[in-house]
Amino acid sequence: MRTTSSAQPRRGAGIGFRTPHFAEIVATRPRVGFLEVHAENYMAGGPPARQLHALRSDWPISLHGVGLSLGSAEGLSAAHLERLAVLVERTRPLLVSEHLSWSVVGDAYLNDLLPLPYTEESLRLVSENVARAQDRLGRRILIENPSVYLRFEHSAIGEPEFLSELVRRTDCGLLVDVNNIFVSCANVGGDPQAWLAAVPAQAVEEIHLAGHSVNDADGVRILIDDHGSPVPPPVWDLYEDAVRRFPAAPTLIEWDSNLPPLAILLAEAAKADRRRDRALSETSDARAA
Amino acid sequence: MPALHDLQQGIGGAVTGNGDGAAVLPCIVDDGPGAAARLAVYANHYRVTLIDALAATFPVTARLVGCDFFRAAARRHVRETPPRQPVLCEYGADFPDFLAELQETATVPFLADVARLEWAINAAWHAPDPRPAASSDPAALRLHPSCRLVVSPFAVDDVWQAHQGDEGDLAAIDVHGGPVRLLVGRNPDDTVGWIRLPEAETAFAAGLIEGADLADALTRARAADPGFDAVPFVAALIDSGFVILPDPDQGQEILR
Repeated sequence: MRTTSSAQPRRGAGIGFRTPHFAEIVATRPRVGFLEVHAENYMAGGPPARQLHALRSDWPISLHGVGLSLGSAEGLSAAHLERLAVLVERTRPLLVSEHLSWSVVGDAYLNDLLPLPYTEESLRLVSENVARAQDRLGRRILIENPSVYLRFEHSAIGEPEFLSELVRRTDCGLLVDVNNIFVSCANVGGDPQAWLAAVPAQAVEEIHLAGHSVNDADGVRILIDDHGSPVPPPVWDLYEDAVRRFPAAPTLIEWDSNLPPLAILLAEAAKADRRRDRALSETSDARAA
Repeated sequence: MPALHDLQQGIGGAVTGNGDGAAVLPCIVDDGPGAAARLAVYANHYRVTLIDALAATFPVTARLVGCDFFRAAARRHVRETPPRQPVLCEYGADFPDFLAELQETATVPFLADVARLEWAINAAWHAPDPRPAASSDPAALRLHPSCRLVVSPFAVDDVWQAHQGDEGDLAAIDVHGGPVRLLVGRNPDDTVGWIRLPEAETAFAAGLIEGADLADALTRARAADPGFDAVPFVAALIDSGFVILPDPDQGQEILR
């Protein structure tokens, strides 16, 4: 197989780490590029924090936050940002990421990644919140495109254009979730290829891959990003396009509901490596031709 | 076009079930699936994931009332008492009190206390590890940060134990064999366990949990039982693994 030259060392795909796999991972030491965990699962301390500490000596760790609520009009929770900062300090992760979404209003945490209207008001607010988070954490964070199930009438900016401007204003990085692009474009319209072309390639530092489910809403098909199945064929195809566009970004397999045996997860990660090699060798072939 | 904060308040109400989202529906593009059906995707996710979280934290409680009743009660609780922050292992502290207030649970008078025990188990498991005690001063006896007390007129520990197998069998135990005072804590092997305490020992442990020194804890215990002897109890606590012992390495570190 042809290898591609790259300024950065190649990092094999990573997997989402979940507690039931801990003993097997420690015993079998799989050769994955990195392990990603949901930051909120490690903020309380105790046995989970000790597990993460044990893993971090052997694998680079990606802390993926789901609760910072960067799109909250009320601003960030100082208490939650502080807990994240303590975890980042303790873990010294390779990557820290969060979402272009909101989940807190008033006293309520809504336990979901809710969509924002893409407006100048939202852009100003998210930029402030991202800047504040980066200041406190003392590092760049990656912002992930969410899977969305609705679109606002008054959204005036495209999602990739919104993210591009966020990068320009805050110097944040991007986490491109290929499955989320596919799901969102199917649910609210949009062209996945155009999406990939519209974000600044040099800002993309991670790619997510996952499966989704097909559901029914009002008798119409709606795709739900549930991380509960293998990556489906059209998402693999879109992944190859993403790899050609963002060749330096490491890939992560997210599969955390209906958690499969570790071997299945590792096979998905190996498949991501093969699809990446194939995508990049086709690029070289095209250049040579 | 609504201000973002107004929009988020409207959506928040629709997601938690404390509003119908009528004010925000006109802001949502109404094609393919209608705006209400689109918003319902988020409301469903909120409801199902949080009910699942409560079911995972309160499994014996759920078995005592049956899955359907439990999920209906949990559904009401997640609507009335949304999480206040994103660390979900800390969600559910108010659920036992909520269950105690439900009229339908009056026939299971020990239900809320079983839930309190399950909450203590959850909290003990997720509690931070202690920093090693740097001092060998015996007046600074500290309990493990996972330690908490559960007190009930019912034998809730026996009820919990009877539901660890496939069949929950209450016939074999005396639910009314209380009161019980349980010191719950995380064992060195990361399982959670407890010891049943008499009244004076409970007062002593409560003092230590609140940060009292030995003399103060002793005063509290003797108020309950003037004849209380701390020595055997402290020895039992040390045997249980619930006491943070001074770390000799830590001491050398300081000497250096």
